[in-house]
Amino acid sequence: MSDPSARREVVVVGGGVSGLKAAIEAADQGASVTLVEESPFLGDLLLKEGRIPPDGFPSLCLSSKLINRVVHHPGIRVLTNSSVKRVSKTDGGIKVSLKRWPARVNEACNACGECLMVCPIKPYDRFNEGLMLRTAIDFAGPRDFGGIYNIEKETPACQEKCPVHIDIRKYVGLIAGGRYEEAIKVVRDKNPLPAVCGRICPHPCESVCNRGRQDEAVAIDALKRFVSDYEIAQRQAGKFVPPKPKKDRKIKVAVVGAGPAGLTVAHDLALEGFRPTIFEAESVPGGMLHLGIPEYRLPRDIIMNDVAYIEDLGVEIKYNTPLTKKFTVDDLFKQGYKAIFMGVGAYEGLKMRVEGEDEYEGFLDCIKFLKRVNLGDKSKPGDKVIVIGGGNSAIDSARTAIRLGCDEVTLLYRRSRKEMPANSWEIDAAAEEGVKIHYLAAPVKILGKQGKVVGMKCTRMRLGKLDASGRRRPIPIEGSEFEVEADLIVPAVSQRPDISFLPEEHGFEISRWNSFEVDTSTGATNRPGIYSGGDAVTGPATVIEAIQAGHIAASAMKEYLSQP
Amino acid sequence: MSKRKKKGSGDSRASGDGPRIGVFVCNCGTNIAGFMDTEDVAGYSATLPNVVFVRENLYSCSEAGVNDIKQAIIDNKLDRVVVAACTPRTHEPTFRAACKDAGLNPYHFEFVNIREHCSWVHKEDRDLATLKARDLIRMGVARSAYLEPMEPIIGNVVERALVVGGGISGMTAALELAARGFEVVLIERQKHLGGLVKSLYEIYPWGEKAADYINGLASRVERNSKIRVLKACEVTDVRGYVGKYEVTVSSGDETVVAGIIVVATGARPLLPEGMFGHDSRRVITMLELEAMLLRSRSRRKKVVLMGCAGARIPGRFYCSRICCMTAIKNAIIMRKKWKADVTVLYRDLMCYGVQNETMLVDAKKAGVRFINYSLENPPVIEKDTVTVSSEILGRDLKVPVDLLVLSTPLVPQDTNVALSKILKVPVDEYGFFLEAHVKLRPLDFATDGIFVCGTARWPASIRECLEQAIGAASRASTYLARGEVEVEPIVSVIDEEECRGCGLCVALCPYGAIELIDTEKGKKARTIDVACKGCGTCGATCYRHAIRMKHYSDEQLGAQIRAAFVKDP
Repeated sequence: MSDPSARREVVVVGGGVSGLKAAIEAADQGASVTLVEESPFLGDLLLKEGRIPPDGFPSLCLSSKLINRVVHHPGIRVLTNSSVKRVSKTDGGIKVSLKRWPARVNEACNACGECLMVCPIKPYDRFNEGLMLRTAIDFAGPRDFGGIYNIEKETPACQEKCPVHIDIRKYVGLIAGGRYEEAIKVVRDKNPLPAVCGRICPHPCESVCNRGRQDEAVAIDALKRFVSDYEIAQRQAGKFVPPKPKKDRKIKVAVVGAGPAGLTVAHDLALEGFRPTIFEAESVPGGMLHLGIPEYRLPRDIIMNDVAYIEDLGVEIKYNTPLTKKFTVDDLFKQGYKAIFMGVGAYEGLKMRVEGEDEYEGFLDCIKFLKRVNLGDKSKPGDKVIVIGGGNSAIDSARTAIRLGCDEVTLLYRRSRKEMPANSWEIDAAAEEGVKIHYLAAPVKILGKQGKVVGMKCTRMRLGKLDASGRRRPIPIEGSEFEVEADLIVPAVSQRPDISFLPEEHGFEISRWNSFEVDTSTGATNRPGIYSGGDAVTGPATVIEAIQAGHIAASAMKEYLSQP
Repeated sequence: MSKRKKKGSGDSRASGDGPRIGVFVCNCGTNIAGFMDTEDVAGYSATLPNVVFVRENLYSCSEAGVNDIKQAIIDNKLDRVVVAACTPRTHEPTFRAACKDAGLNPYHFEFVNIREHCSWVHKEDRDLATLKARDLIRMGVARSAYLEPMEPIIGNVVERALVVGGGISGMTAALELAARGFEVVLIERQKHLGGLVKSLYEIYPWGEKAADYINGLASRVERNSKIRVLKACEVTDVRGYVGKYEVTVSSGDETVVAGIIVVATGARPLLPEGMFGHDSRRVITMLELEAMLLRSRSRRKKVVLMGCAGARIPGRFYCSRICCMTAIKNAIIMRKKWKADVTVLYRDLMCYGVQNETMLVDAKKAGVRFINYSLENPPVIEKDTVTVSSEILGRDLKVPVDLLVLSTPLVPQDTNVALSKILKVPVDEYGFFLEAHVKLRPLDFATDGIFVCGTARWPASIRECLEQAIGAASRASTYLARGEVEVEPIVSVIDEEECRGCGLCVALCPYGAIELIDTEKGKKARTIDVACKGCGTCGATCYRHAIRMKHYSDEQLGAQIRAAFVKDP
């Protein structure tokens, strides 16, 4: 006879009386059965009914018999708290994807219910279509049993929001318990630049913090800063023990650019036992951290602390070693580097595309301006400065200009304050320091005399409908033009990667924004062994996003380098 | 017996290395606890000899209760478990499995029924129930001390199924089993396959031609290489046991060996001889109407369909379940085909299921009249009129008629009783076959390896017949697919030294489980383990006391009986 046990994987969906019976039947016929039930308990309606017609037999007598058989049947695997997500056909079978919901509290529970009262985690209630909140621990089930307790396990909102998914709940808890050394380890597990992030991260985690619904979000970023300060203090006291990388694999890897992405890649690969070397064009590490962000926001010794940590892992940083048309990635391969990470950032300021922009002198894009200042040129760039843009770079430029002693600094932004991408506290600080901020204002024409900028004609704007970015599109108001005097205009409208260093025949796929085209899940460029990430791929973004890209690329590079 | 004197009241084992008995008193929610003082019963249990552990449980059979038992066995090194709860019929396997899981021989478990035997029958007297529960538990504990470890008996299963009955249920079951790769022998009493459905016109609620369906099914059965069809043939004798039934059939006394048997003998409509003026011309049965429609010869203009003709009356209480829908279906057909005036007389209309309800609405839309009548005032049938006393209008209605159709119920086949004796399976008070458990095992017989489906079990629609046939085939496959069967080792053991080979036990064994064999010392009886059901008839019969019942030995039962009459401390 044909072997009836040949096709023998059965999924039974539903743990009611029919499901239980079907599972037993199939398993008795030799199938290996998976019983999927959405609720935490088997038996369903049968359990809820007290007695069953026609003879009023206690339903539990029936269901418990079935349930016991199912639970103890060697051929049946029971998955309660699980639901079917997707069913797809495969070669000669059906593939069922399941989602497993919360974990059951074990038998030690005596259903006192105390946990329900104190549970601080309130996820949305699936049972009520997510319209209200429940507690993370909850019970369900027939009343006679007092319910079966389950813990709804989910990633905390903050951890989910964080691009690198630091276990925030854990390290904040450790700090609360005074276990700082362990806390910084938890942070460092995912973030190689904790001191830097503790100061300048826009902390999206705090914006989703559940505590914020009560009063104010947990000060996650400040706590990170606190533990990193603790680490710095330990380092200064000579009590710091650098982590030990894995066994040396004797494989050289090149990282181009010592920005956050590059530093992350070097850090990750060094820990894995590779030998990364960073090629940095400038004389300082950190990339935009150093060149773009003013010192008042991010003290240089803080950057140096995180870089020192990475150097302790055996990472070598070669300063003043830019890639050029004569020193290319191919030369790096020739020098024995087995893989390359291109973390070159986005250093080319975009033009405003305003009439007169190319006619007059007196333009300095924000990157060039900040870089000049950050590298030590503290001279006053002009008397009256206009900064155009609403991002952090614009605010940084404006505040830096004020600090350099400029008489009048004006900031123009074409949308309202609500749409402004810069951190709100930075905007407040800028206004506090005397930056004149014009919201809903845009440049129309550059005014100049004798080849030099003397001012700018602007127009007021109003907000129209939502555009592709989800923000309301600014529309000029006719006849609302006004003029602002200036001898320096700092456009801070956006940046893109500067790829002028690449030779003609570089062979990379480059997007129309001059960024590297990569596989988003690995960071791999089209050239084998060359990876990229951070601003060089995404355009200007945050440090934490660059770190995320670094992690992705590093793990892919490890995979690539581990291939025989 | 000498042992009796030594053992006394069964408590002599209390000292030294006596058994370690654990007693679990189940509340069964309020089923038990509501009618007796379970706390007192549990407390009393703790004072019994050899009892080292007592636990009261809300539901012993729940997962928590079972885990509790397992844990107690391990923690307290129990070697006997007594559960005082409900009937062994539902939960003995559950608790035995629990013992097994905890490393105890499953036959070291003793079930005391303090629900069906006590709380449910003494609902009025709480104190009495409590005292009786004490007695029952004391007896159970006494017996448990003498329990012996046993191992289940494993028998092989012949991978062949026998299906009795070639109607829609039997054929479907046979095809199902064949599709799973098993050989099937299908026995049909008539000269052709098809059964009752063959004589129907259309099938409700889809209006499919019955002949098309049933003939298609029959030809699929005939063409199937796995199925052997024996027509004009009946089962005359069945010997053997689950896994190996030896079935003698009437055609040339052939013996079919099969692992399992599916009974699908169907039912027949009641012939209303002498009732309601039945004459097969102007007053006919529903089946005769089907035949009339099938022939599509005669046409009548004034038709009355009368429900519950011979059903739900004293002596035949049951509802035949299918007549209402059949009547509605045929009413619509006659309305459309014959343009006839159709009146349906009913006592209650049973149209369960969405499609059937829709059919009822359709009938009303088509102009079929429905008139309610009661058992007390049945319609009066005259030559050209039927006078019905309408329950709703409260007066008599005269309905002109040239064709009266009686919905007679399905009744059991006349052969059911004979077959039930051959198969050793029960029939109910009407003669329908009786399943093992109305809810838990609706398609099994109490006898392992024999299954029932279709109208042999109870009147059923075609859809229900198919469901049951597929279900029975699935149940049967659980035996056939495994290839072996585990049988309870509660069997008789014959001491061949003592046996004189008289053959009395062989003659009396209702299961054919004892055979006489020739040995050097003459004829001796021997038990066929797999076939023995442990009923004890042989043991009670043997004048030589050569037959001992496993798990119900003289020592065990003696201890139990002695404990029953102990004066309460």
